Amino acid sequence: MSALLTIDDLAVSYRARRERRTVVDGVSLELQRGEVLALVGESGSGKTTIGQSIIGLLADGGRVERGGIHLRLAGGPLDLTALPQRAMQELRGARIALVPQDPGTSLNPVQTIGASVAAPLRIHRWGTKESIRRRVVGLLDRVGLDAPERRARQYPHELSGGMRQRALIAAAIALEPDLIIADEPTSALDVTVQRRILDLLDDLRAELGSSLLLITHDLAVAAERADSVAVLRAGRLEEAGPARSVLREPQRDYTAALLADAPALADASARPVRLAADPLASLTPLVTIDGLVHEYGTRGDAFRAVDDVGLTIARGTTHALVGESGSGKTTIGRALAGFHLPTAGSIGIGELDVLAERGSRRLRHAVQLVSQNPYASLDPRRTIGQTIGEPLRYLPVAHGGERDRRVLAQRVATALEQVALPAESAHRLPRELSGGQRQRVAIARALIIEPEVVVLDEAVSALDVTVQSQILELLERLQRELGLTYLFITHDLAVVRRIADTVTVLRRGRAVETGTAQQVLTDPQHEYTQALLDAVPAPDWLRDARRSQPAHASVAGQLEVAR
Amino acid sequence: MSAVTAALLPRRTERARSRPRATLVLAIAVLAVSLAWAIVPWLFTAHDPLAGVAADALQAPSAAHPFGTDATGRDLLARVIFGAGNSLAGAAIAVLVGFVAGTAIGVLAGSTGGIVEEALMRVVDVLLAIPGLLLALSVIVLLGFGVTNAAIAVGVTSIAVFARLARSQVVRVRRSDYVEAAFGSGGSFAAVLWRHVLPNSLGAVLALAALQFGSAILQISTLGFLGYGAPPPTPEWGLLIAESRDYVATAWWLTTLPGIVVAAVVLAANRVAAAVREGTA
Repeated sequence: MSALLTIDDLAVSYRARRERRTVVDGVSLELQRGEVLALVGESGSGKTTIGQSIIGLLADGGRVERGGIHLRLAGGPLDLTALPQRAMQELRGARIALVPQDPGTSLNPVQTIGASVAAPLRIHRWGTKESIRRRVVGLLDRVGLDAPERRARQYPHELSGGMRQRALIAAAIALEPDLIIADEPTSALDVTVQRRILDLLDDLRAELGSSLLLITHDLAVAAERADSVAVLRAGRLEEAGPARSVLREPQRDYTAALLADAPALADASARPVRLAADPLASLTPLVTIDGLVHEYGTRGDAFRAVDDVGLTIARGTTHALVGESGSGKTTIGRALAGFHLPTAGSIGIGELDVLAERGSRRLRHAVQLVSQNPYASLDPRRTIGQTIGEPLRYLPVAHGGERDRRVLAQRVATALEQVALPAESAHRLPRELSGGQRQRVAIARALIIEPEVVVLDEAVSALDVTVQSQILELLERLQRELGLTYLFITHDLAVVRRIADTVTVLRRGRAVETGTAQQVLTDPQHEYTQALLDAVPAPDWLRDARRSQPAHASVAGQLEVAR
Repeated sequence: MSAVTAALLPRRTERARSRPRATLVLAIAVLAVSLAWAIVPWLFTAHDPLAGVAADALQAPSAAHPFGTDATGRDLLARVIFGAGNSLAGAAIAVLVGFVAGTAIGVLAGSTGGIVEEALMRVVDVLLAIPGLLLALSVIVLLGFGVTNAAIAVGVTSIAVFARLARSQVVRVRRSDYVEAAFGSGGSFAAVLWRHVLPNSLGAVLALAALQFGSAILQISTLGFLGYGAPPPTPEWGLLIAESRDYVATAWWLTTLPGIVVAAVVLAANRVAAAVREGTA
């Protein structure tokens, strides 16, 4: 059997500021008919570029420098890099289909779902108007959308993210393509939705006999779904081969590091139960949230984002708020940080009434927020030093504020050292820093006025696994050294396992389960928690394989296995 | 030798990378020349812009008079050179009026929100609804004729555009995470506005100011052409073209050459504006 897709020594470069930069360099891959090949790598590794060059849609300034991409169809092999535009248009949508990354922006907002799904059929003159309409309804039904007739008449904003991704898949499979390229098809989706979308892609692939090129940053997804895996790093192929052998016995250090850092797979990382050791601390919690209700909108059609949630956090521990998007976890975190006033309920940090002290200096000393996106949370025009020193300049001098430039620079240098950034980065601008470094800056800014509680709102979600692991380590170290208390907001149960002492699981604004991380993750009581845990991708064979591996140099080496 | 090349090489590559594009250089050169005309016009021509030699009336361009002469025998190039001061100063005043007033309104509206924003932006909508030329003429009728008043009138017409842009930028920046983080660090409203909102929202507004400079020259020329600007015989670009329109059939240079100068300066201003926008985006 010959391969459907053969990539041979492919090199792609981009032009940026009058220089050509090679982003894919000498990658060779094979994808057999009917199989799944996962392209794995961190951001900037060139995995999306490979997908784009297959379908001939490189971004502006991109050029295939050398190498070939051969697609073996019934009519004979084609070199996709040498095909003229018109011929590529014939192939696109018909023989090669793309499932894009972000379902939020990939559908035309002024077109109905039906029109979007019908687009490939119309472009390739598949049949009459009426037969296309029937086919669209059939496709929407096939990808598991309820009431397909009605969905076809709806607009993208009326559908949830998962439903939109299903519609995009329907459009991709409309002409039963030989090759489906799925570029991070589930990265923007919740974990339970992710599982269903991946199941759907699997079923369709089996049904149509298509091949799937799955581009993902998530090793666990690759391990669970792919027949073979190709690991990319900085545009070069690190390792490729059958999924089991690559992930069980990685030949390259980089693959091994990726495996060790992937939180979903890092099984031996639950924290020791510190609460049991110190019953006094759990009796007098530092943070107390009681009967919290938050409604958005006016009284008539108010939407209850948080519905009667209560929780306590002991001093020096980490409490995780887990839930899917829309579960109200961010709303709770922002209320604790004093960013908005809830409709009802009370929040206390020690003796401090957060709701009464909103916007006050004392509250700032008590709680600080680190937000999700390190790319947006730093002012692009101010240096790192200015950003970190800013909270001190706002404080009155009598209360720890600082105006003297020299002392300020010293404090900033200390803060930078605390988050393990070089001192000279104080003079840099945010754009010169990587995502992980920026998140360190955001943490330093939150810590410089020495708060007791830090709210971390998806603080590691936007980062690559290796960086994510480093930031989590940093947070743990800071907690040990400074006795910080964290409210850690996340959708990722694997991260919870790594960092949390206690957990509250939220669903549609209600707390469905609360307990120690150990209890909740190993013995979930509520069915929703069970569903969340089941949806975390991680095949058993891989978990077993990792256990037998020599322990990675991580602090959690001696701890017991959580599951 | 090798030490010399080592010292020279990196600098040379650096220079190559930051080499601006040819059109931008040309645009800056055009603006620089017109600016020099405005400041020290007597260095560029030996002729008097006001006193004519009757015998030389309506001469076609020649070596002695590169732009030819007008009906009273005045050297046209001298009048264009001496007119630069009036036209460019007028444009600068116009842009300044629009920029300061418009940005103030826009920043105030964008940063406060609520009723203040509603009220200010509806006023701006009314300003936008009145045709620019009509608005400018009304302002001149109120203020009286003259170069400065014409410039102010042109500036008033651009207030609405500046206000809208400034407001949209401020609203965008205000919702960004770093502004929220600054409030979370304890920043007061004024401090956050000054440190974060203004520097990050003024880039596009400055680009608009550079763009507006070109159209202000045009508008002031229009007003001059209609007779609302500088009174004759003051040399002013719009007025030059207006005075020459009786001779379009017989003395083409009187309208064409000043027209080309105006067009060149406006295009150059637009090119620089585009570069400013790219630089700040």
